[in-house]
Amino acid sequence: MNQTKWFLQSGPDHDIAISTRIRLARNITDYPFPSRMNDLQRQELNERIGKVLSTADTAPLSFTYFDMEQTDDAVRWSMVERHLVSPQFARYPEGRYLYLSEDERVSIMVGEEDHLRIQVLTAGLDPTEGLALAQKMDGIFDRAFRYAFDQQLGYLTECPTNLGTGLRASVMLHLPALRRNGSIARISSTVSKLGLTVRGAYGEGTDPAGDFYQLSNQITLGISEEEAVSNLSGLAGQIILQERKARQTEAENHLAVEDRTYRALGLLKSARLMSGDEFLKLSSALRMGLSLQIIDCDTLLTALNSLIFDVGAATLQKGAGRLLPEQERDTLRAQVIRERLESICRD
Amino acid sequence: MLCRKCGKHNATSHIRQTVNGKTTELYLCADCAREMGFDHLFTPTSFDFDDLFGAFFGNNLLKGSTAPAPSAKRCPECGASFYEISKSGRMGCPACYRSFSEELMPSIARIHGATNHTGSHPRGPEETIEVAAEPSPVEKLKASLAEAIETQNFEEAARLRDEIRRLEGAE
Ligand SMILES: [Zn+2]
Ligand SMILES: [Zn+2]
Repeated sequence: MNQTKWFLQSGPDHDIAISTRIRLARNITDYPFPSRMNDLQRQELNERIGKVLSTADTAPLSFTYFDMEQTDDAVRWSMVERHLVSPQFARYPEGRYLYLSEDERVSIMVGEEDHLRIQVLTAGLDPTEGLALAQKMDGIFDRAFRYAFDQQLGYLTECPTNLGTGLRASVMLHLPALRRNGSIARISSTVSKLGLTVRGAYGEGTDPAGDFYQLSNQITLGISEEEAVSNLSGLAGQIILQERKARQTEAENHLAVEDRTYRALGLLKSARLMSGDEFLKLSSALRMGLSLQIIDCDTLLTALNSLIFDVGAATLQKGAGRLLPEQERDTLRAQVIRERLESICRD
Repeated sequence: MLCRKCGKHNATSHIRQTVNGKTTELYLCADCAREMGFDHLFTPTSFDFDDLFGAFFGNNLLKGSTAPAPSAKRCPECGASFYEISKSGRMGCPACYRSFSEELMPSIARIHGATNHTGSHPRGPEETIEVAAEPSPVEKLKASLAEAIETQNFEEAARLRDEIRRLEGAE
Protein backbone atom coordinates (compact mmCIF):
# COMPACT_ATOMS: atom_id res chain seq x y z
CA MET A 1 0.00 0.00 0.00
CA ASN A 2 1.44 3.37 -0.92
CA GLN A 3 0.69 6.85 0.38
CA THR A 4 -1.03 7.97 -2.83
CA LYS A 5 -4.42 9.48 -2.04
CA TRP A 6 -7.03 6.75 -2.33
CA PHE A 7 -9.04 8.63 -4.95
CA LEU A 8 -6.09 8.80 -7.33
CA GLN A 9 -6.14 5.04 -7.52
CA SER A 10 -8.53 3.10 -9.66
CA GLY A 11 -10.74 0.45 -8.13
CA PRO A 12 -13.05 -2.34 -9.29
CA ASP A 13 -15.85 -1.15 -11.63
CA HIS A 14 -14.60 2.40 -11.36
CA ASP A 15 -16.39 3.51 -14.51
CA ILE A 16 -19.62 3.30 -12.48
CA ALA A 17 -18.58 2.93 -8.83
CA ILE A 18 -16.62 5.97 -7.68
CA SER A 19 -15.91 5.09 -4.08
CA THR A 20 -16.84 2.75 -1.27
CA ARG A 21 -17.13 3.88 2.30
CA ILE A 22 -17.14 1.76 5.43
CA ARG A 23 -17.86 3.22 8.84
CA LEU A 24 -17.82 1.58 12.27
CA ALA A 25 -19.42 3.32 15.27
CA ARG A 26 -17.84 2.49 18.63
CA ASN A 27 -18.25 3.67 22.21
CA ILE A 28 -16.31 3.13 25.37
CA THR A 29 -17.97 2.07 28.62
CA ASP A 30 -16.27 4.73 30.75
CA TYR A 31 -18.21 7.72 29.41
CA PRO A 32 -21.73 8.80 28.56
CA PHE A 33 -22.43 9.25 24.84
CA PRO A 34 -20.93 12.39 23.24
CA SER A 35 -23.98 14.63 23.54
CA ARG A 36 -23.82 14.21 27.34
CA MET A 37 -20.05 14.47 27.68
CA ASN A 38 -18.44 17.53 29.21
CA ASP A 39 -15.34 19.27 27.85
CA LEU A 40 -13.04 17.49 30.25
CA GLN A 41 -14.34 14.06 29.31
CA ARG A 42 -14.01 14.86 25.63
CA GLN A 43 -10.40 15.94 26.08
CA GLU A 44 -9.60 12.89 28.17
CA LEU A 45 -11.20 10.55 25.65
CA ASN A 46 -9.22 12.19 22.87
CA GLU A 47 -5.96 11.94 24.79
CA ARG A 48 -6.52 8.24 25.41
CA ILE A 49 -7.31 7.61 21.77
CA GLY A 50 -4.31 9.63 20.63
CA LYS A 51 -2.06 7.63 22.91
CA VAL A 52 -3.36 4.30 21.64
CA LEU A 53 -2.94 5.37 18.05
CA SER A 54 0.57 6.72 18.53
CA THR A 55 1.80 3.51 20.13
CA ALA A 56 -0.04 1.09 17.84
CA ASP A 57 1.49 -0.47 14.78
CA THR A 58 -0.54 1.10 12.00
CA ALA A 59 2.13 0.83 9.30
CA PRO A 60 2.03 1.70 6.47
CA LEU A 61 -0.58 4.23 7.55
CA SER A 62 0.58 7.37 9.26
CA PHE A 63 -1.92 9.69 10.89
CA THR A 64 -2.21 13.45 11.11
CA TYR A 65 -4.06 14.93 14.06
CA PHE A 66 -6.61 17.74 13.87
CA ASP A 67 -8.26 19.52 16.76
CA MET A 68 -11.29 20.54 14.76
CA GLU A 69 -11.89 23.69 16.79
CA GLN A 70 -8.40 24.91 15.88
CA THR A 71 -8.90 24.01 12.23
CA ASP A 72 -9.86 26.60 9.59
CA ASP A 73 -13.37 26.70 8.21
CA ALA A 74 -12.19 26.03 4.67
CA VAL A 75 -10.08 23.07 5.79
CA ARG A 76 -12.97 21.58 7.77
CA TRP A 77 -15.48 21.98 4.96
CA SER A 78 -12.97 20.68 2.48
CA MET A 79 -12.85 17.53 4.58
CA VAL A 80 -16.60 17.25 4.18
CA GLU A 81 -16.32 17.65 0.41
CA ARG A 82 -13.68 14.95 0.35
CA HIS A 83 -15.97 12.66 2.42
CA LEU A 84 -13.44 12.53 5.26
CA VAL A 85 -15.78 13.77 7.97
CA SER A 86 -19.52 14.21 8.33
CA PRO A 87 -21.12 17.64 7.83
CA GLN A 88 -22.03 17.67 11.55
CA PHE A 89 -18.43 17.11 12.48
CA ALA A 90 -17.33 20.18 10.55
CA ARG A 91 -20.31 22.27 11.62
CA TYR A 92 -19.74 21.78 15.36
CA PRO A 93 -15.98 21.51 15.80
CA GLU A 94 -15.90 22.02 19.58
CA GLY A 95 -14.62 18.98 21.45
CA ARG A 96 -14.16 17.03 18.22
CA TYR A 97 -10.89 15.59 17.01
CA LEU A 98 -9.76 13.84 13.88
CA TYR A 99 -6.96 11.42 13.04
CA LEU A 100 -6.54 11.27 9.30
CA SER A 101 -4.24 8.91 7.43
CA GLU A 102 -1.90 10.49 4.92
CA ASP A 103 -3.54 8.76 1.99
CA GLU A 104 -6.94 9.99 3.30
CA ARG A 105 -8.27 6.44 3.32
CA VAL A 106 -8.82 6.20 7.05
CA SER A 107 -10.39 8.86 9.21
CA ILE A 108 -10.97 8.37 12.89
CA MET A 109 -13.46 10.86 14.27
CA VAL A 110 -13.49 11.37 18.02
CA GLY A 111 -16.56 12.85 19.68
CA GLU A 112 -18.87 12.72 16.68
CA GLU A 113 -22.24 11.10 17.37
CA ASP A 114 -20.30 8.22 18.91
CA HIS A 115 -17.02 8.25 20.80
CA LEU A 116 -15.23 6.74 17.85
CA ARG A 117 -16.12 6.59 14.23
CA ILE A 118 -13.70 4.65 12.11
CA GLN A 119 -14.15 5.34 8.43
CA VAL A 120 -12.37 3.82 5.46
CA LEU A 121 -12.63 4.97 1.84
CA THR A 122 -11.63 2.83 -1.10
CA ALA A 123 -11.75 3.49 -4.81
CA GLY A 124 -14.35 1.70 -6.91
CA LEU A 125 -16.62 -0.99 -5.48
CA ASP A 126 -14.51 -2.61 -2.81
CA PRO A 127 -16.32 -3.00 0.50
CA THR A 128 -14.46 -6.14 1.54
CA GLU A 129 -11.13 -4.38 1.43
CA GLY A 130 -12.59 -1.39 3.29
CA LEU A 131 -14.13 -3.60 5.98
CA ALA A 132 -10.87 -5.45 6.53
CA LEU A 133 -9.00 -2.20 7.09
CA ALA A 134 -11.73 -0.78 9.34
CA GLN A 135 -11.70 -3.97 11.40
CA LYS A 136 -7.95 -3.81 11.71
CA MET A 137 -8.21 -0.28 13.13
CA ASP A 138 -11.12 -1.39 15.31
CA GLY A 139 -8.96 -4.18 16.72
CA ILE A 140 -6.37 -1.66 17.87
CA PHE A 141 -8.93 0.21 19.98
CA ASP A 142 -10.62 -2.99 21.09
CA ARG A 143 -7.31 -4.07 22.70
CA ALA A 144 -7.08 -0.78 24.57
CA PHE A 145 -10.63 -0.04 25.71
CA ARG A 146 -13.68 -1.82 26.96
CA TYR A 147 -16.25 -1.16 24.28
CA ALA A 148 -19.89 -0.56 25.16
CA PHE A 149 -21.36 -3.86 24.03
CA ASP A 150 -24.44 -5.86 24.90
CA GLN A 151 -24.84 -9.57 24.17
CA GLN A 152 -28.26 -9.02 22.68
CA LEU A 153 -27.98 -5.57 21.10
CA GLY A 154 -24.34 -5.70 20.01
CA TYR A 155 -22.27 -2.52 19.91
CA LEU A 156 -24.17 0.20 21.76
CA THR A 157 -24.43 3.50 19.92
CA GLU A 158 -25.84 6.91 20.74
CA CYS A 159 -28.57 6.52 18.14
CA PRO A 160 -30.42 3.18 18.07
CA THR A 161 -30.31 3.17 14.26
CA ASN A 162 -26.65 2.06 14.50
CA LEU A 163 -27.07 -0.68 17.12
CA GLY A 164 -25.62 -4.10 16.45
CA THR A 165 -22.63 -3.95 14.15
CA GLY A 166 -22.40 -0.15 14.09
CA LEU A 167 -21.48 -0.67 10.45
CA ARG A 168 -22.55 1.58 7.64
CA ALA A 169 -21.33 0.52 4.21
CA SER A 170 -21.96 2.68 1.22
CA VAL A 171 -20.98 2.89 -2.42
CA MET A 172 -21.23 5.94 -4.64
CA LEU A 173 -22.58 4.99 -8.06
CA HIS A 174 -22.83 6.95 -11.28
CA LEU A 175 -26.15 6.03 -12.88
CA PRO A 176 -26.98 8.42 -15.73
CA ALA A 177 -28.54 5.83 -18.04
CA LEU A 178 -30.74 4.30 -15.35
CA ARG A 179 -31.87 7.76 -14.30
CA ARG A 180 -32.73 8.67 -17.90
CA ASN A 181 -34.68 5.48 -18.57
CA GLY A 182 -36.63 5.99 -15.35
CA SER A 183 -35.39 2.93 -13.45
CA ILE A 184 -34.18 4.58 -10.25
CA ALA A 185 -37.56 4.42 -8.52
CA ARG A 186 -37.91 0.70 -9.26
CA ILE A 187 -34.37 0.00 -8.04
CA SER A 188 -35.00 2.03 -4.92
CA SER A 189 -38.04 0.07 -3.97
CA THR A 190 -36.24 -3.22 -4.57
CA VAL A 191 -33.24 -2.34 -2.44
CA SER A 192 -35.39 -0.96 0.37
CA LYS A 193 -37.04 -4.36 0.72
CA LEU A 194 -33.56 -5.73 1.32
CA GLY A 195 -32.70 -3.19 4.01
CA LEU A 196 -30.69 -0.81 1.84
CA THR A 197 -31.31 2.68 0.53
CA VAL A 198 -30.49 4.62 -2.61
CA ARG A 199 -30.36 8.35 -2.66
CA GLY A 200 -28.77 11.26 -4.47
CA ALA A 201 -25.17 11.84 -3.47
CA TYR A 202 -25.16 15.53 -4.33
CA GLY A 203 -28.33 17.49 -4.07
CA GLU A 204 -31.73 16.07 -3.44
CA GLY A 205 -34.85 15.34 -5.41
CA THR A 206 -35.35 13.06 -8.36
CA ASP A 207 -32.45 14.44 -10.44
CA PRO A 208 -29.39 14.55 -8.22
CA ALA A 209 -26.53 16.57 -9.70
CA GLY A 210 -24.33 14.57 -12.06
CA ASP A 211 -26.45 11.42 -11.54
CA PHE A 212 -24.39 10.29 -8.56
CA TYR A 213 -26.17 8.07 -6.04
CA GLN A 214 -25.29 6.50 -2.70
CA LEU A 215 -26.29 2.91 -2.04
CA SER A 216 -26.04 2.09 1.69
CA ASN A 217 -27.19 -0.44 4.21
CA GLN A 218 -29.89 0.77 6.54
CA ILE A 219 -30.03 -2.12 8.99
CA THR A 220 -27.31 -2.88 11.51
CA LEU A 221 -28.94 -5.26 13.98
CA GLY A 222 -29.52 -8.94 13.21
CA ILE A 223 -27.05 -8.93 10.32
CA SER A 224 -23.35 -9.72 10.47
CA GLU A 225 -20.68 -7.42 9.07
CA GLU A 226 -19.86 -9.90 6.33
CA GLU A 227 -23.51 -10.30 5.33
CA ALA A 228 -24.02 -6.53 5.23
CA VAL A 229 -20.99 -6.06 3.03
CA SER A 230 -21.82 -8.94 0.74
CA ASN A 231 -25.42 -7.69 0.34
CA LEU A 232 -24.06 -4.30 -0.63
CA SER A 233 -21.60 -5.80 -3.09
CA GLY A 234 -24.18 -8.08 -4.62
CA LEU A 235 -26.79 -5.38 -5.08
CA ALA A 236 -24.28 -2.82 -6.32
CA GLY A 237 -23.03 -5.42 -8.79
CA GLN A 238 -26.53 -5.94 -10.13
CA ILE A 239 -27.20 -2.23 -10.41
CA ILE A 240 -23.89 -1.80 -12.24
CA LEU A 241 -24.91 -4.51 -14.71
CA GLN A 242 -28.25 -2.80 -15.31
CA GLU A 243 -26.54 0.54 -15.80
CA ARG A 244 -24.15 -1.02 -18.34
CA LYS A 245 -27.08 -2.50 -20.22
CA ALA A 246 -28.95 0.81 -20.22
CA ARG A 247 -25.81 2.55 -21.51
CA GLN A 248 -25.56 0.07 -24.36
CA THR A 249 -29.15 0.83 -25.28
CA GLU A 250 -28.43 4.56 -25.30
CA ALA A 251 -25.33 3.94 -27.36
CA GLU A 252 -27.47 2.58 -30.18
CA ASN A 253 -27.79 6.21 -31.11
CA HIS A 254 -24.04 6.40 -31.37
CA LEU A 255 -23.81 9.86 -32.87
CA ALA A 256 -25.86 11.44 -30.09
CA VAL A 257 -23.73 9.89 -27.36
CA GLU A 258 -20.53 10.70 -29.21
CA ASP A 259 -21.61 14.30 -29.59
CA ARG A 260 -22.48 14.59 -25.90
CA THR A 261 -19.13 13.11 -24.91
CA TYR A 262 -17.00 15.41 -27.05
CA ARG A 263 -19.05 18.48 -26.15
CA ALA A 264 -18.46 17.74 -22.47
CA LEU A 265 -14.76 17.18 -23.03
CA GLY A 266 -14.50 20.37 -25.06
CA LEU A 267 -16.15 22.47 -22.38
CA LEU A 268 -14.18 20.91 -19.53
CA LYS A 269 -10.94 21.53 -21.43
CA SER A 270 -11.65 25.10 -22.43
CA ALA A 271 -14.19 26.83 -20.20
CA ARG A 272 -12.93 29.82 -18.20
CA LEU A 273 -15.73 29.77 -15.62
CA MET A 274 -17.07 26.50 -14.26
CA SER A 275 -19.69 26.17 -11.54
CA GLY A 276 -19.75 23.05 -9.41
CA ASP A 277 -23.10 22.10 -10.86
CA GLU A 278 -21.88 22.42 -14.43
CA PHE A 279 -18.80 20.38 -13.63
CA LEU A 280 -20.90 17.52 -12.26
CA LYS A 281 -23.17 17.57 -15.30
CA LEU A 282 -20.33 17.63 -17.82
CA SER A 283 -18.32 15.04 -15.98
CA SER A 284 -21.42 12.83 -15.99
CA ALA A 285 -21.64 13.03 -19.80
CA LEU A 286 -17.92 12.51 -20.29
CA ARG A 287 -17.74 9.58 -17.88
CA MET A 288 -20.44 7.81 -19.80
CA GLY A 289 -18.63 8.33 -23.11
CA LEU A 290 -15.47 6.98 -21.55
CA SER A 291 -17.16 3.88 -20.22
CA LEU A 292 -18.62 3.23 -23.68
CA GLN A 293 -15.12 3.70 -25.04
CA ILE A 294 -16.17 6.47 -27.35
CA ILE A 295 -12.98 7.93 -26.03
CA ASP A 296 -10.68 5.16 -24.91
CA CYS A 297 -8.75 6.65 -22.04
CA ASP A 298 -8.77 5.13 -18.59
CA THR A 299 -6.52 7.83 -17.12
CA LEU A 300 -9.16 10.38 -17.98
CA LEU A 301 -11.74 8.44 -16.02
CA THR A 302 -9.48 8.27 -12.97
CA ALA A 303 -8.83 12.00 -13.34
CA LEU A 304 -12.57 12.71 -13.36
CA ASN A 305 -13.07 10.54 -10.29
CA SER A 306 -10.42 12.46 -8.40
CA LEU A 307 -11.58 15.88 -9.62
CA ILE A 308 -14.88 15.37 -7.82
CA PHE A 309 -12.93 15.53 -4.58
CA ASP A 310 -10.69 18.40 -5.67
CA VAL A 311 -12.96 21.10 -7.03
CA GLY A 312 -15.44 21.60 -4.20
CA ALA A 313 -15.87 25.21 -3.09
CA ALA A 314 -14.13 24.76 0.27
CA THR A 315 -11.34 22.63 -1.17
CA LEU A 316 -10.55 25.33 -3.75
CA GLN A 317 -10.52 27.99 -1.05
CA LYS A 318 -8.32 25.86 1.12
CA GLY A 319 -5.85 25.62 -1.78
CA ALA A 320 -6.03 29.37 -2.39
CA GLY A 321 -5.57 30.07 1.30
CA ARG A 322 -8.38 32.62 1.39
CA LEU A 323 -12.09 33.05 0.87
CA LEU A 324 -12.95 33.38 -2.80
CA PRO A 325 -15.97 35.16 -4.22
CA GLU A 326 -18.07 32.96 -6.47
CA GLN A 327 -16.62 34.13 -9.76
CA GLU A 328 -13.04 33.66 -8.58
CA ARG A 329 -13.99 30.21 -7.36
CA ASP A 330 -15.49 29.30 -10.72
CA THR A 331 -12.39 30.66 -12.43
CA LEU A 332 -10.11 28.61 -10.24
CA ARG A 333 -12.25 25.51 -10.70
CA ALA A 334 -12.13 25.86 -14.48
CA GLN A 335 -8.37 26.29 -14.30
CA VAL A 336 -7.80 23.24 -12.11
CA ILE A 337 -9.94 21.12 -14.42
CA ARG A 338 -8.18 22.39 -17.57
CA GLU A 339 -4.75 21.75 -16.13
CA ARG A 340 -5.69 18.27 -14.97
CA LEU A 341 -7.19 17.24 -18.30
CA GLU A 342 -4.71 18.96 -20.56
CA SER A 343 -1.92 16.44 -20.52
CA ILE A 344 -4.15 13.36 -20.53
CA CYS A 345 -4.82 11.16 -23.58
CA ARG A 346 -3.65 13.53 -26.24
CA ASP A 347 -4.05 11.88 -29.57
CA MET B 1 -43.48 27.49 10.51
CA LEU B 2 -40.94 26.21 13.01
CA CYS B 3 -37.93 24.15 12.01
CA ARG B 4 -38.85 20.45 12.06
CA LYS B 5 -35.51 19.45 13.50
CA CYS B 6 -34.76 21.81 16.37
CA GLY B 7 -38.26 23.17 16.80
CA LYS B 8 -36.72 26.44 17.89
CA HIS B 9 -36.06 28.62 14.88
CA ASN B 10 -38.15 29.60 11.94
CA ALA B 11 -37.88 27.23 9.00
CA THR B 12 -36.24 28.96 6.05
CA SER B 13 -35.32 25.98 3.88
CA HIS B 14 -37.72 23.68 2.23
CA ILE B 15 -35.86 20.51 1.39
CA ARG B 16 -37.22 17.64 -0.59
CA GLN B 17 -35.45 14.49 0.27
CA THR B 18 -35.91 11.44 -1.90
CA VAL B 19 -34.90 8.22 -0.22
CA ASN B 20 -35.81 4.99 -1.95
CA GLY B 21 -38.18 6.84 -4.18
CA LYS B 22 -40.13 8.18 -1.22
CA THR B 23 -40.03 11.93 -1.00
CA THR B 24 -39.99 13.52 2.41
CA GLU B 25 -40.41 17.23 2.75
CA LEU B 26 -38.32 18.91 5.36
CA TYR B 27 -38.73 22.38 6.73
CA LEU B 28 -35.51 23.45 8.39
CA CYS B 29 -33.94 26.57 9.81
CA ALA B 30 -30.71 27.80 8.24
CA ASP B 31 -28.55 26.27 10.97
CA CYS B 32 -30.16 22.87 10.79
CA ALA B 33 -30.10 22.88 6.99
CA ARG B 34 -26.39 23.56 7.06
CA GLU B 35 -25.87 20.96 9.74
CA MET B 36 -27.56 18.37 7.60
CA GLY B 37 -25.37 19.25 4.67
CA PHE B 38 -27.89 21.04 2.52
CA ASP B 39 -25.97 24.27 2.25
CA HIS B 40 -24.05 23.86 -0.92
CA LEU B 41 -23.70 21.50 -3.76
CA PHE B 42 -20.40 19.87 -3.04
CA THR B 43 -21.26 19.08 0.48
CA PRO B 44 -22.34 15.52 0.04
CA THR B 45 -25.69 14.66 1.47
CA SER B 46 -24.95 13.11 4.78
CA PHE B 47 -24.15 9.49 4.33
CA ASP B 48 -25.43 8.59 7.72
CA PHE B 49 -29.16 8.38 7.43
CA ASP B 50 -29.49 8.45 11.15
CA ASP B 51 -28.27 12.02 11.10
CA LEU B 52 -31.45 12.76 9.32
CA PHE B 53 -33.72 10.22 10.87
CA GLY B 54 -32.38 10.71 14.35
CA ALA B 55 -34.47 13.84 14.54
CA PHE B 56 -37.61 11.95 13.66
CA PHE B 57 -36.71 8.89 15.63
CA GLY B 58 -37.83 10.58 18.82
CA ASN B 59 -41.44 10.82 17.71
CA ASN B 60 -41.32 7.19 16.68
CA LEU B 61 -40.07 6.22 20.06
CA LEU B 62 -43.02 7.75 21.80
CA LYS B 63 -45.51 6.47 19.27
CA GLY B 64 -44.28 2.90 19.24
CA SER B 65 -43.82 2.52 22.94
CA THR B 66 -46.38 0.49 24.78
CA ALA B 67 -44.80 1.49 28.07
CA PRO B 68 -46.57 3.92 30.34
CA ALA B 69 -46.24 7.60 29.52
CA PRO B 70 -42.82 9.09 30.24
CA SER B 71 -42.39 9.03 33.96
CA ALA B 72 -39.84 10.49 36.29
CA LYS B 73 -37.73 7.40 35.73
CA ARG B 74 -34.12 8.24 34.95
CA CYS B 75 -31.10 6.25 33.90
CA PRO B 76 -29.12 5.62 37.08
CA GLU B 77 -25.83 5.96 35.19
CA CYS B 78 -26.23 9.24 33.33
CA GLY B 79 -29.46 10.73 34.64
CA ALA B 80 -31.19 10.89 31.25
CA SER B 81 -34.96 10.61 31.34
CA PHE B 82 -36.88 8.72 28.71
CA TYR B 83 -38.55 11.96 27.74
CA GLU B 84 -35.16 13.50 26.89
CA ILE B 85 -34.14 10.43 24.92
CA SER B 86 -37.32 10.28 22.92
CA LYS B 87 -37.15 13.99 22.16
CA SER B 88 -33.60 13.89 20.87
CA GLY B 89 -33.52 10.35 19.48
CA ARG B 90 -30.22 9.93 21.33
CA MET B 91 -29.37 7.75 24.29
CA GLY B 92 -27.59 9.33 27.23
CA CYS B 93 -25.13 6.54 27.88
CA PRO B 94 -24.67 2.83 27.11
CA ALA B 95 -26.59 1.91 30.28
CA CYS B 96 -29.68 3.74 29.00
CA TYR B 97 -30.39 0.71 26.82
CA ARG B 98 -30.80 -1.38 29.96
CA SER B 99 -32.57 1.33 31.92
CA PHE B 100 -35.21 1.86 29.25
CA SER B 101 -35.18 -1.55 27.63
CA GLU B 102 -38.94 -1.96 27.84
CA GLU B 103 -39.63 1.42 26.25
CA LEU B 104 -36.99 1.02 23.54
CA MET B 105 -37.43 -2.51 22.28
CA PRO B 106 -40.54 -1.92 20.13
CA SER B 107 -38.76 0.89 18.25
CA ILE B 108 -35.56 -1.10 17.88
CA ALA B 109 -37.51 -4.03 16.48
CA ARG B 110 -39.30 -1.72 14.04
CA ILE B 111 -36.12 0.02 12.86
CA HIS B 112 -34.07 -3.12 12.32
CA GLY B 113 -36.67 -5.83 11.95
CA ALA B 114 -34.61 -7.79 14.45
CA THR B 115 -33.64 -7.60 18.09
CA ASN B 116 -30.60 -9.86 18.29
CA HIS B 117 -27.06 -8.99 17.30
CA THR B 118 -25.45 -11.55 15.03
CA GLY B 119 -22.24 -9.73 14.14
CA SER B 120 -18.80 -9.67 15.70
CA HIS B 121 -17.99 -9.32 19.39
CA PRO B 122 -15.25 -7.24 20.97
CA ARG B 123 -12.38 -9.11 22.56
CA GLY B 124 -11.61 -6.39 25.04
CA PRO B 125 -8.35 -5.28 26.62
CA GLU B 126 -5.84 -8.03 27.27
CA GLU B 127 -5.16 -7.29 30.93
CA THR B 128 -8.80 -7.42 31.94
CA ILE B 129 -9.82 -10.40 29.86
CA GLU B 130 -11.92 -12.61 32.03
CA VAL B 131 -11.46 -16.33 32.22
CA ALA B 132 -13.28 -17.51 29.14
CA ALA B 133 -16.92 -17.43 30.13
CA GLU B 134 -18.70 -20.76 30.33
CA PRO B 135 -20.58 -21.12 27.03
CA SER B 136 -24.28 -20.42 27.42
CA PRO B 137 -26.74 -23.35 27.14
CA VAL B 138 -27.72 -22.12 23.67
CA GLU B 139 -24.10 -21.95 22.57
CA LYS B 140 -23.54 -25.50 23.80
CA LEU B 141 -26.60 -26.68 21.91
CA LYS B 142 -25.42 -24.90 18.77
CA ALA B 143 -22.09 -26.69 18.99
CA SER B 144 -23.88 -30.03 19.33
CA LEU B 145 -26.11 -29.10 16.41
CA ALA B 146 -23.11 -28.44 14.18
CA GLU B 147 -21.68 -31.78 15.23
CA ALA B 148 -24.96 -33.60 14.59
CA ILE B 149 -25.17 -32.10 11.11
CA GLU B 150 -21.59 -33.02 10.41
CA THR B 151 -22.17 -36.62 11.41
CA GLN B 152 -25.45 -36.59 9.46
CA ASN B 153 -27.43 -37.34 12.58
CA PHE B 154 -30.42 -35.42 11.29
CA GLU B 155 -32.93 -36.65 13.85
CA GLU B 156 -30.77 -35.39 16.65
CA ALA B 157 -30.14 -32.19 14.66
CA ALA B 158 -33.86 -31.52 14.35
CA ARG B 159 -34.34 -32.06 18.07
CA LEU B 160 -31.46 -29.71 18.89
CA ARG B 161 -32.73 -27.07 16.50
CA ASP B 162 -36.16 -27.08 18.14
CA GLU B 163 -34.56 -26.84 21.55
CA ILE B 164 -32.44 -23.87 20.42
CA ARG B 165 -35.49 -22.17 18.97
CA ARG B 166 -37.38 -22.71 22.18
CA LEU B 167 -34.57 -21.23 24.27
CA GLU B 168 -33.98 -18.31 21.92
CA GLY B 169 -37.66 -17.58 21.74
CA ALA B 170 -37.79 -17.36 25.50
CA GLU B 171 -34.99 -14.83 25.69
ZN1 LIG C 1 -33.52 24.18 13.29
ZN1 LIG D 1 -27.86 6.49 30.64
